Amino acid sequence: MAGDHSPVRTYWKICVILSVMTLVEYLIFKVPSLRGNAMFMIPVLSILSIVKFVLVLGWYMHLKYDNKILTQIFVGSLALAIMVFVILKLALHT
Amino acid sequence: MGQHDHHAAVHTHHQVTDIDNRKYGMWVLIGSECFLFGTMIANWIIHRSNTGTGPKPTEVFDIELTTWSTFILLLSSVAMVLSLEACKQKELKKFQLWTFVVVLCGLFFLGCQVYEFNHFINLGFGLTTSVAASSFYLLTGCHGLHVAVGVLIMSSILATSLVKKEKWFNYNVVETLGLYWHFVDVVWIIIFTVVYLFVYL
Repeated sequence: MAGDHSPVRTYWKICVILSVMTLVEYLIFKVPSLRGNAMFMIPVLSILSIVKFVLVLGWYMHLKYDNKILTQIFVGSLALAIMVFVILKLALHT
Repeated sequence: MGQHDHHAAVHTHHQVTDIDNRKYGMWVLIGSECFLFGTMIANWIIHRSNTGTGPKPTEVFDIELTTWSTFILLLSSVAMVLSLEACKQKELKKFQLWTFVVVLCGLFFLGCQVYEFNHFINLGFGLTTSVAASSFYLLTGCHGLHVAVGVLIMSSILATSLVKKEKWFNYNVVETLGLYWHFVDVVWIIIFTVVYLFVYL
């Protein structure tokens, strides 16, 4: 069972990491010289967001330990959703 | 067919993998929800500058409040896994406590969202003010609706556990509903960055 690999201490560690990363996002945003700097903000905020996303999926949703078919369902759906996203953006963006 | 073979046949008919069917179904639902939110996020990105004569999102957004509500949702996620762990260990009081924290965090998040929407509407950023505003309310409102559904489900689990006590414990049900709750949290992680922070760029 998935929970066998996920002790309570790990859950709290991840909670602290997620909170710190959210705080970092907020602090980066509060620096006036960085706020409008797309070259810096987009990659940094995207990476922070993706790491948070993976931590929740992998540990809180147990994908790291569960049957790989569940990861395939999610990653496959996410890939298709990203394709829809890109097509919409290309088709409708003015 | 012997009784054992019959059970094996029934088992095969209802469950083709070693994964609980409810959990499998929840992952398929989560996969379809990726499309729903992916489309709405694309819609926001495309139309976020289309504010017409109304205020721009950057003129009304309150990042401090949104950061707090993000913290609350992250806290609810850890409460959810601790609730699941307590369910696994059959610790009723801990299970009830952490499930209550999940409900409380969900309600707090919804309260923040209602306050935020009211604040935006007072500043002239209403549902029909502009395409950007409509896109914003469609996305965040749909997410809020998911949180509200999660709060209702977790409240019903808490109420059932208060009535039936130890007889109730069902790890698979709590795990499946926990997946839904964490997905709502994951979606908010993306919304916070893409909708609230990227709009300033």
